[in-house]
Amino acid sequence: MKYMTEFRNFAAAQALSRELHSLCTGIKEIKIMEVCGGHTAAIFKYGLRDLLPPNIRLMSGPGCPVCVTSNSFLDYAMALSREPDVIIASFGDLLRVPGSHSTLLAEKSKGGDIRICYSSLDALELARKNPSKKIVFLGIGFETTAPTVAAAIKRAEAEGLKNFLVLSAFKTMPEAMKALLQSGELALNAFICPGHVSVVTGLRIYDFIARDFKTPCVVTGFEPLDLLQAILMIVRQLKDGRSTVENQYTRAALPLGNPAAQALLNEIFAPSDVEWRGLGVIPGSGLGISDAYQAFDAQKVIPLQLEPAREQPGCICGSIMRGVKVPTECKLFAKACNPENPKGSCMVSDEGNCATYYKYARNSRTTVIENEAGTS
Amino acid sequence: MKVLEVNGTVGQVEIGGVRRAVDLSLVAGVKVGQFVVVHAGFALSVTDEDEAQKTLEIFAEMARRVAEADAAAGSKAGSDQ
Ligand code: SF4
Repeated sequence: MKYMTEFRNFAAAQALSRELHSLCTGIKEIKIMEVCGGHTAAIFKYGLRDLLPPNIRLMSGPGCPVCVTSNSFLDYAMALSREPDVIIASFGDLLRVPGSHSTLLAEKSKGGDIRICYSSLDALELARKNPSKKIVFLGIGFETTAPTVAAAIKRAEAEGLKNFLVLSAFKTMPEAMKALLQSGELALNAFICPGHVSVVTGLRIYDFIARDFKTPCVVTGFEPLDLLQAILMIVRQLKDGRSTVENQYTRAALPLGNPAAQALLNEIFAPSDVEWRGLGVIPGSGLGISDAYQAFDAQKVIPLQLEPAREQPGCICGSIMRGVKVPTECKLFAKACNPENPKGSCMVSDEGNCATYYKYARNSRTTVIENEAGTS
Repeated sequence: MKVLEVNGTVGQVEIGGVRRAVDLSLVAGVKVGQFVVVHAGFALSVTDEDEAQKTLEIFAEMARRVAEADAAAGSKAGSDQ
């Protein structure tokens, strides 16, 4: 497939790997966090850790939308699903994530009207077809997904659809990266920044991290050569004593991002305090629905009082989100908790750390970089 | 994903033989034949083919240098590989 297969070339991967080995000889350990769950999944899928010198340590961060969604959000969604005139519209992954006491899937089997959507536009269609119901779209994710939901709200407004609501837990990445650096738990040396977030936001959102925290940031794509080159760019920065924001993903992420998507974000959402699993409430890291669009805010239209949320006993997803633990340190991993029967959010999503470890790192080493002549 | 059809702000994209409807409202001016990054039903950016090519050339150059270095090392060692 064009612009995928070429970025999986084995000879180039070996060349990058050798360059990294020679640059890293004799230097102390470099800790790099890949913030995005999509990057973590690619790193394992292509066995990239095996191609890195031993003194480069990759750590997985909090960039999996389902994983960082808090139990209080899930509890709210489930409570809404028990309201008589509500249809919940959600991305499929979220249905299997345990909240404090239940999952959306269990609520669905008990009669809750919960529909799986691929896009916010599917939920908009539900609103058109069910005028007597309130459609609540569960808004999770980052700057990548938020504009798509903002676009749906704009259209609902234009069409006069009053039964389309969004329960927003949208989050912005840089504040979480800052919180991780400030916690001092990790002593990170650099960030591999999320590619699709950057496609929307552009590169400037990371400037303060490179400048104020002297931490190099490289935006990259999701193919193996993208990631290896990004790591090489980071190592070069560190060796030169530089810390800047660099773009490896020049084919998709423009320096200024996607202005149309940003305009939608700024119009429909406003910065809010939001809870991240594992990181707690980070001030200003959320995208709440702005005052002008309150009529679409599920929390304003259907306010509910809930008991405080609780975490699943034994699940350490929170520590995994902060990068301080890895899935194999969880006592439930691959025993009581597995993809068929997930006990925590990180085992549910394809981008979840526990799911990635389960799939690729449980028993064997995997290196499945394709040759250029491979599948296309 | 490759753009197959553009009808105003909606279109069809294809990846690995699978066709999908996509909203194109956030990538004004996109044309049939271009490649787009799609997320949750929306195209978010149009692939810059020149930039893709530049990146691939860097990789090809690195692979070529390594192959040359190997060949040089091999001939020094008297290897015929
Ligand atoms: S293995 Fe399961 S229970 Fe353990 S941290 Fe991961 S998701 Fe939570």
